[in-house]
Amino acid sequence: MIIYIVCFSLTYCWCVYNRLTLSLNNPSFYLNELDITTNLLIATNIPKLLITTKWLAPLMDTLYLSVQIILAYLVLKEKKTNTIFVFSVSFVNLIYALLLSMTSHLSIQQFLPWILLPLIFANTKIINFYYNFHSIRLVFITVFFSAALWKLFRGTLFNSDEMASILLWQHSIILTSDSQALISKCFMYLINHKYLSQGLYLLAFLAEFVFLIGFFTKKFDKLLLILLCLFIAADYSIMFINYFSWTAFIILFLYSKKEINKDLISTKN
Amino acid sequence: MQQMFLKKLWKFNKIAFVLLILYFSLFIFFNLKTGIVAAPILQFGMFSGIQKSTDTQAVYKLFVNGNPINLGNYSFTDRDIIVNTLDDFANQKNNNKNIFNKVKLLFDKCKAGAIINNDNCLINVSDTAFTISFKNKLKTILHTEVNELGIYKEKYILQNNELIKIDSPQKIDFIVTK
Repeated sequence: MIIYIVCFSLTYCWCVYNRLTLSLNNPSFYLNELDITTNLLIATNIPKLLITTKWLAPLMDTLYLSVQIILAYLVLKEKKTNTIFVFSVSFVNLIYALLLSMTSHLSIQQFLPWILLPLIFANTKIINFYYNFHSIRLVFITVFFSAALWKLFRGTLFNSDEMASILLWQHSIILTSDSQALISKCFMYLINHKYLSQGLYLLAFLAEFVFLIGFFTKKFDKLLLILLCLFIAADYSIMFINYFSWTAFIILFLYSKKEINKDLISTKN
Repeated sequence: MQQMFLKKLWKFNKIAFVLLILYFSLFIFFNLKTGIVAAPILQFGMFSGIQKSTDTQAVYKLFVNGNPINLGNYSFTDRDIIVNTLDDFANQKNNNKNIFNKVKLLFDKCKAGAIINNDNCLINVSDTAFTISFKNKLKTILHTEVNELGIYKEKYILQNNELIKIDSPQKIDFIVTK
């Protein structure tokens, strides 16, 4: 829970600093996506109210923060958490994430830790916690591994031009605003040396693909933890994309090898 | 092995097991179906769409109070806020209603059209309202009052190992100048 609190707090502070909460962002429109949940949310009029009223954004911000604080308090003080409450926290986080991703440049993917990780605490009994924890671990591994499969089956792995064009698209502003800056020269070097940049893409693919092993054993979870951290760091430093929130997922690999009494594992409470 | 975990989960709590398998099934379904998702079941492509370095790159050029703004001088977050707000506003003008109608059609096919039947939930944001809002956003980033605003799109292509401007800049018409 401490790691969750620290990661959430740092991410939230970053959002506040960059005026990326619902009230600080003060949106004037929202962007729809081909997403069933988004359109169900639109049908409730909530996004429309968010844009046309002044009270909903601060209310949602307050609700979003409050549920994290209550959850953290209950877990840290070892009070009983109710499954319905925890699912509600996850649901509030999902709605908040959808609203913020519709009205800002943030992707809902960046909010995945706050949607999934609270579910681990759905029950304070140790045996339930064990199963919740490992189920969410499998869900995350599926998510990360699927990114590798997409690269494989869409053929981008074999497109020698792929990373060069991604860098070109991602950094076109700094490349055109100051081509003599060191950072621009570094990116142009990678863009003009396609096989070197594609090597970086291949490394990203391998980092994602290696997560397959997490389905079968927990022996290499420390390696997966390191790969996850390296992936987030590389995303930030090379792509200028902030996926710091995903650092919270290290919980799933840091504590995965802790076992509980084998008698408890096969007994339903 | 993790297979043992699923077996253990089945023995421990069949409902939890079914929920987990249901999530995986829906994940595979939505990922294979492509084109539509249902948050939190998403497609995590992470730059897995085919791109070519020969593609034209469109870059925004901003003029605030008659002065050009070098977006390269700002943090990547601020750049993303400016660029994505412009891109998203342009996209929502064309796509919001179309996407909503597509999803509505899907619900109608599944005989659940009543759930999403709300024609008044979409909003129309005028270019003037957006320009005012965008100017306020720019003011907090640039730390300067934005009285006059002009935004252009310039096109570049990669040629002889550098980015070359092609075509004359196109003025963005949804930014209301007066």
